[in-house]
Amino acid sequence: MNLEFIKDYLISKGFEASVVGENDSPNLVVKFLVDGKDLELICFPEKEISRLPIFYLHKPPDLGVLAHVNFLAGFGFICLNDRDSVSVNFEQPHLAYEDSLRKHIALLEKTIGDPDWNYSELLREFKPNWNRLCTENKPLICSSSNADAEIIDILKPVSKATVGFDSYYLAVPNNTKDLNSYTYIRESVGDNKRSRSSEKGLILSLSSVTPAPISPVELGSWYIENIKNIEAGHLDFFRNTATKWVDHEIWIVFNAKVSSGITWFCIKLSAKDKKARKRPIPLSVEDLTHWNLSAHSVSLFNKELIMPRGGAYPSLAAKKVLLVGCGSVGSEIAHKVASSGVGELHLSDPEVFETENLYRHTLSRSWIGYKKSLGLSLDLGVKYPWLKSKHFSGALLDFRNRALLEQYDLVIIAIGAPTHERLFHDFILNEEVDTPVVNTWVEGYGLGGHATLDIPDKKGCLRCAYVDTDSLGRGLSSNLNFLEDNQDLTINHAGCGDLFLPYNAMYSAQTALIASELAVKYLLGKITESSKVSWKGDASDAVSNGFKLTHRYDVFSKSLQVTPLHNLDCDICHD
Amino acid sequence: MGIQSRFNDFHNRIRLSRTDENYKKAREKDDSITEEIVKAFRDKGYEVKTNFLQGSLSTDTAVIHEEKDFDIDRAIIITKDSSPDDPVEPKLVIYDILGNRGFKNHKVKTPCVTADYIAENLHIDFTVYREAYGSYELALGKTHSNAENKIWSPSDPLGLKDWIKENSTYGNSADKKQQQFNRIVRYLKRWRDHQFSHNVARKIFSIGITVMAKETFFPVFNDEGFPSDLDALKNCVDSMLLNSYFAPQGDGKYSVTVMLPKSPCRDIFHGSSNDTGTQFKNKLDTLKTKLSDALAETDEIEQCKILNKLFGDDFEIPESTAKAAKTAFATAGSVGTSQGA
Repeated sequence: MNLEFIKDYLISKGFEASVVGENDSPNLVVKFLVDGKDLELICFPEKEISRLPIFYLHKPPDLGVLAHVNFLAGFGFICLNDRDSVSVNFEQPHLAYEDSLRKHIALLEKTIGDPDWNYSELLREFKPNWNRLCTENKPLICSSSNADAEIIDILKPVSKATVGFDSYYLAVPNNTKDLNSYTYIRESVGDNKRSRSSEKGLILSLSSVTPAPISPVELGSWYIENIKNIEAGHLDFFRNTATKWVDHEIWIVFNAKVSSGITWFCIKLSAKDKKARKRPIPLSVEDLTHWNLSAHSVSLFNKELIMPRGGAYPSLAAKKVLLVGCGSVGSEIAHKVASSGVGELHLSDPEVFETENLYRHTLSRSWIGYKKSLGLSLDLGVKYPWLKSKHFSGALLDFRNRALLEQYDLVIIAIGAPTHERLFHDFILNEEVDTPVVNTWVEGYGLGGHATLDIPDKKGCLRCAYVDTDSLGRGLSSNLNFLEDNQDLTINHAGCGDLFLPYNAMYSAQTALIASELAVKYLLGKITESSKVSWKGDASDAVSNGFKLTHRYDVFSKSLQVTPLHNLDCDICHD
Repeated sequence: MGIQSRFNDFHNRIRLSRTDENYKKAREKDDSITEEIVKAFRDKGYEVKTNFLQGSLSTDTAVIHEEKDFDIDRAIIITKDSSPDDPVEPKLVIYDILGNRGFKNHKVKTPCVTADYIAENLHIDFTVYREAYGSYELALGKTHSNAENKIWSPSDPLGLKDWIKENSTYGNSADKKQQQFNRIVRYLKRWRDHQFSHNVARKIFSIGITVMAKETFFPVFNDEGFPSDLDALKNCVDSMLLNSYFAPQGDGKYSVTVMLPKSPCRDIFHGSSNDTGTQFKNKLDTLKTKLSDALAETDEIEQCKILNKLFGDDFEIPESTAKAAKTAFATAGSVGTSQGA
């Protein structure tokens, strides 16, 4: 790094820059004036520019508490919000230094020169600033869903657990005592590994909050000041609790609205003398003399927060879906549909998970010899805390029961068996079953995959995807296919019972993606018409194996696009 | 239903294949006469190597004529070693067989032996080839032709058939694209039969139409892989008119020339009058215009009215487009698909 060149360049741009320090460890110093105050930034150059160069506020005058500036040992670290997504010009380091310097100075000018903005930023950054006060490196996991004022049980981590859910403190409010809907907590508590601590706490909302204290020693005064801001609706609860409840340890989980949303944080009150009488919650500076206070970060564990954070839709919580076919495509669909936030997913497949399934199925070897639907159902239960899943062993044709089918908001069929799918469709038509159906299948050799959404009483049905391209009558294979009919596409390694269509996990996953998206968009109300979607892959494997492709493969240019399913010549979907 | 479905219905009404029920009597006659010819040839010492269908039945482009008459078009191939020097001799054997069977108007024509079986609306053409090492020679000559017109002429009957059926340049779904070609030829033949007087129509040879269509056809399928015969037919007719088949002869007259793509590579319309060429060209112009009109028309019934005028009543005009598509079940017992999960 040629620091002299960078210094000269910065000087040429009007900065008061200099290089200081020993020859073997030179540093870059830039002096400037903000709001009448002489400030100095110092940069300790790194060997490689892998991020924006960092400038520290050096020997600062008394500037008060500044948003985005953290002081340590006389240096102020300035947070530029330099995310990984920022692409830095490491090939022209002088430009990177100039850009970074301007950002640092601009932030300081704003935070020093505009006290209102500084204060609001301190509030907006409340959570990270609070977290800096915390000595526990793991947050308290709290399953409150609605910030009601209430008593919480504090469950200590499992002894010696250093990783995983078991290694966290849990705060379980009364309104989540029904642990059946909280898989992780139920499992973590249910095996009796956690100590039966009598520690309790309470949840309180603050109508307003002051910026987080900058050091743990200010925590007490901050607490006394801020309990004055307890929301009016929580005050009675707090007064009653505070006056009646005495203890040696009390966890107070606060939440407060700041500009970046509702922020949650915790103060743990620990009696200085555990042998002394138990005391009520402190309400004054004098009361605090009996207590040690420690700051804890809080991680909310409720579906209202966790699901949207992961891209799931809480609005799907009431939806109930049946997935028939838990093979390579079906298992992927199960995960994708579950990840959407669907509340209830029923899985059915008569087949057992075998070793030969390993490389294109989501199940692990632990499930060899089990029904695929069982393994998948339990896997999903572990992964998705608010999913209710059931497993069945029925084949598609076993589900020809109108009352049964109409329990579901959607049926997804991933069996790759056109005869059964057409028979099932006939049943749906004849019995006027009012449940939409997604059919999906993958083609061999990575050529593509397809999904159809058949919504009753809408133009377009499964048979539209089976209109024969020549006769325009009913076909036996789908007109969406990219491979011609009547080709021996299967591979046989071990006799008649071991025929399989060659495709790998990427292709089954890709197919599952289009089917899942179709399903989820329907459930969300974003797709309201019968639709179809295909993805088109590379033909080289199919061609090199001598297989014939369809004309649709040649001309198809709408990969992943949802298009109408209706075919004008379908005899079922007539006007 | 869409217009393609109307074309399919039309095609189903006009298509003719050897296995059709209404071709049953012709087929039985064909089989029976062929059997007798083969036996008679053997008795004469001609070693029959094989026999095969010629003409539109062999290329899947045959149509049911509006007059409901049927053709038998068969080639008998004998070995060159066993063939007589006089190519008319085996043709006379056929001539006698047809005569003994009561056929009227049986004749030895230059390229073939023909006969009509009026009661069955049957027209018969038998040709004789001799073959050696994969090369064929056609028996040319009439009963009383002089010696120089009685010749074994190099010919390539299988080559022509293969050329018509050739689909390797059509890319994927080649069979379906060839089927579209077959339909286009049938549409053009039916158009000919419907638009021209019988006397002119018989001069616009089916093989001429087929070769023109083959040289100008390119498949038209939509983005979902469904054929669009109307577009394909329109493109084909446009290309026919742009090609050099029709040469102006002054006074608005045209000659028509279509070369056989295979041996003997002669002009199919050799000897045709300018009147034939002119009528052919002018009616193709009209066909082009009407097909454009049909393509521009958005109302399906109006489209069908235009096409009905071009092709006759076998192209039906529906009473309403709202009418449900008739359920047509698949004709295969099963189909192997590429579908898995």
